[in-house]
Amino acid sequence: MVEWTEFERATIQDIFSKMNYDVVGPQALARCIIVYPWTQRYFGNFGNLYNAAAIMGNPMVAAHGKVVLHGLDRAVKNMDNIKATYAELSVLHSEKLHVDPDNFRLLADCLTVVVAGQLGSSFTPEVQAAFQKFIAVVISALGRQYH
Amino acid sequence: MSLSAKDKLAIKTFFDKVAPKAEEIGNETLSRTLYVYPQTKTYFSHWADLSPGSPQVKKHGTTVVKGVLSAVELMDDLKGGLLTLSELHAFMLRIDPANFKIINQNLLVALALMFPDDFTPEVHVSVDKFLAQVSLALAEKYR
Repeated sequence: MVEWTEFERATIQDIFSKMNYDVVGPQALARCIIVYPWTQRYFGNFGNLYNAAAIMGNPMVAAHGKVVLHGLDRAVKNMDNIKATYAELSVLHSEKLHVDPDNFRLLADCLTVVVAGQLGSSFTPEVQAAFQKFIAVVISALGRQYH
Repeated sequence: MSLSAKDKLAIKTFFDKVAPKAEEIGNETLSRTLYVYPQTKTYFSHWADLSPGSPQVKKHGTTVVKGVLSAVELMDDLKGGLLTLSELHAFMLRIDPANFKIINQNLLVALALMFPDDFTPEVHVSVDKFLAQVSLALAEKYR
């Protein structure tokens, strides 16, 4: 089981309670698709992904970015049992979506960059550490049901 | 994943803005590397204070970022231009090259929080490619 300090718990609740999902979700996914273009393989039916401008303006990317970000909500609410909480989603990503788990890390890195851009100097090293630990636990849980 | 003309222009333009803040960026980058990835502290056991913002962290962070800025000028031949630095990292410092990825990620975070409007996704991809090339050039003399 993952051990969380009081600071880590408070930080995660704080970040997500103040999170602008409508901005951060779309930006994180768009950035992931732009910075790591091979991730486009998972979005064949999203239409125009030909260049950065198209990706940033693509409504399907924006909508899906929000879905993915809200997917983190269940971990925020169940920090003491993230592994079990994501069992179903893990099976989904493996068996149905066939997503290479390496991509979780790529999206996570882009999410961290977007959150850093939003929070500025309040994204201190301590906050960054808590955030990255949280994301790492989610990624581990999401990869667990792959075989 | 080599650098296109578009990448090089984006990198030069962006780092021209970054250069005046080298010290701050260096401090943020190294502070975060040491704090968020504690295993990196093993390379600095000879320092008194490894906490974010300490004098040694600030000084060394500046050194590292100035190294990256010098690589911008050497973009057309990173392997040749960074030869001496590669020898330093390979034979003297003997830093595991896996750590280049870690410091690169923290540099991106520092750039994102200090230049939120300039660090667009297009700049991000060019800088990410550039840092990967720099890391490769730094690792050149390892074996």
